[in-house]
Amino acid sequence: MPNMPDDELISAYLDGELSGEDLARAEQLLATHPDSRQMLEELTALRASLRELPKHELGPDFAASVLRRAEREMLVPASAVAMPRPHEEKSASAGRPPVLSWARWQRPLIWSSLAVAAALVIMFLSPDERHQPQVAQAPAPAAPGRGEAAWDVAHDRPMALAQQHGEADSKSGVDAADRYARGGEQNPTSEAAGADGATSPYFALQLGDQEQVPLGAYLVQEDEKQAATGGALVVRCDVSPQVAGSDTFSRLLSQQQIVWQGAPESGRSNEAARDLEEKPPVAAFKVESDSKAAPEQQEAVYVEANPQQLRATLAALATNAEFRDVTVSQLPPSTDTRAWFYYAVPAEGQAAPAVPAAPAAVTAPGAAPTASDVADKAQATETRSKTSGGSAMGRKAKGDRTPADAAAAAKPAEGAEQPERQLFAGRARMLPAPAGRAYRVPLPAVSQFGVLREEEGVLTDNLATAPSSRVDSEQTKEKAASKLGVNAKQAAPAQNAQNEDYDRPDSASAGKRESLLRAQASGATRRGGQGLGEKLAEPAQAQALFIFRIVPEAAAAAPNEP
Amino acid sequence: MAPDVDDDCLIDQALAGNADAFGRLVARYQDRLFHAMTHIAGSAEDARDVVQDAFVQAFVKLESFRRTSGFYTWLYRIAFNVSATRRRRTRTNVSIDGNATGHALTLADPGSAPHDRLEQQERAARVRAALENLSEEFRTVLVLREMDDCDYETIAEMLDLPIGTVRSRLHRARLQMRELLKETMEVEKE
Repeated sequence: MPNMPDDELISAYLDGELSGEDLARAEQLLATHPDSRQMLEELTALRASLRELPKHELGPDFAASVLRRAEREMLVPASAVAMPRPHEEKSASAGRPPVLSWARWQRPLIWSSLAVAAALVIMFLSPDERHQPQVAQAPAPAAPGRGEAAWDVAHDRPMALAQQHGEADSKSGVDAADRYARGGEQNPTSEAAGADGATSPYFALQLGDQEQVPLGAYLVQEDEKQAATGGALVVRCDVSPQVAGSDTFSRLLSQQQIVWQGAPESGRSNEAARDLEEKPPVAAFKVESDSKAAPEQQEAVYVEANPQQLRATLAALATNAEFRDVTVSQLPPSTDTRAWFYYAVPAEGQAAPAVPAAPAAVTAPGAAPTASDVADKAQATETRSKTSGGSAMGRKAKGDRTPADAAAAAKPAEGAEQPERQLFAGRARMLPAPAGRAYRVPLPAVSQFGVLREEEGVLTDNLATAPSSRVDSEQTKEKAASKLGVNAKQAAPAQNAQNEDYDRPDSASAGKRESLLRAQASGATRRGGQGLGEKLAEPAQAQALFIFRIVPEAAAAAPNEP
Repeated sequence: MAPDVDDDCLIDQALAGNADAFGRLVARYQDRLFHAMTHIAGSAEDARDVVQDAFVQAFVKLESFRRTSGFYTWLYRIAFNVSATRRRRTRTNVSIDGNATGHALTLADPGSAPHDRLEQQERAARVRAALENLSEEFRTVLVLREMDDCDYETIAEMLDLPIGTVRSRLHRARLQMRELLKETMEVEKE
């Protein structure tokens, strides 16, 4: 303690923080210097005056209120509980009974808060499961009905895809896609792809410099920030095959009024494509195939939600013991007021930057679409898949396809042979971040996603990134305009904007589900009126990427204890 | 509450799923933290929210508490961060006035005569006013030392400061507080 000023020495003496030479020096000062004694007396008096201040007490019920709020904190959106005033506490919890058992405490509570604009959920499926969504989106010409059935399953039970096992069409399609993703086999036949079914590349997200932190830590950080930061998240976790085979995650989503959709919306915009080429994304994750990895199960699901929904989803995820090793990586938040989520999906046969010819495994025989065809046919295929699968977001959002059109597109007719896997092929996508939608993502095909600047707020929701993909800009504009019209209508109270999500097949089950989901949507006040124009005016939407990996039971024996 | 149950034991129990154990931790430290936060956050109302948020966050983050410091130290750091965040967000002028918010006030000497109590209240008002006029960093370190009775090491840990900085800052805070009180008393005399 070198050269401590005398006054400071006296102050420390008062606090009993001196020893040795300093203490001796202070005592000598007090013995020989009246000023030092005066200082000590004044500081002592000051201490007394401060300690005389009335003390505040919180009352005996405070601990109970803390525990109630802590419990609720784990289960509801951050915004609802982040900083409730005492008088708000009651209303904030009204109608929301806590479901978290304190026993859940026995495992690490993993938290995070999302203040971003859309969510991407990627779940790793087992080798023989993970392809189901893609296959479901790509009803083979020979068996179109099967694809529809798969969609229904996917929508209702997003993690219950195991029941799709053994469907040769599906398997072959996925295996073909896997090989493409691994490195470039072109135009495989369906049979060849099926024969290679034992290969199960592990598609790992390459997070680059993005740190993976426990979900809990991330949520706490976000809590402390108390503000939406924008950007996009990647959330990874492991689940057991039993959980994967159940509707656990589906329920988790539905509790937050996040409904399952068909394929993610895919559109085209030359302007947006140029934007992506000229202005690189603020940040992006890449999903790359790693054939050396263990054949772990994997699945990918993409979710768009508002921050509240997303946070609640994560909170539920974090407190559910069935989801383990949850980590979060965050893309740097964009400083732009309009940051758009996008993802790019490489063409099958990844090596080629241009949209490749459609692989025979999932394409009608003889089909060899041009690049522009790829885009257009992908659009048609997308519409088909959504129609058959029950997602209307893409169709209505584009506003230019009637059910009849969609039905026509759904037929494996000439010109509609573009495989579903190409739905995302070679494209990046910008999303206006609607709330409460979950999509299955063809994991092997996802190459990257991230946040893209949208400086001018141009009405471009999607884009094609493949250089050879030619898209009619006028068509895009028409679609955009049509979309605006549709959304404007949907903003009316009588027609909830979310209605566009529920165009499902006319089957009884789909209709029933649709009614249920509509009821859920109508009960969610935060979801009203989401026309595209409004979306453009909403910069603070949420984005995230959750990653789930199905780990065999043996490997899952040890609980996650970060 | 069994007085012999230390913090670590309660934390262990809480981590094992015993919510009551955490409730006991809350009860143990709520008033101490509240009292300190009243002078940090600026008002009893804000302090209550801060304390509640801090306990909730501590509850959520209990897994991450490494016990390299005391629970209260860790809790205080959370509360301090919460308070700082709230101040940044609200930027409202606050007044330290427990009576206005309905929170119970415990006078240091409730048994004194009415006249003495009046003097005591006036003196307390002067001290509070001087305290409010301190800069945040001075007020914080002074509250921790004089009201929370934290030693330098604990304060340094709470505020993530070197002990030397704590010592010098505390001394400067005291000098400034002394001057402010003198000014207040001189104004009243005039």
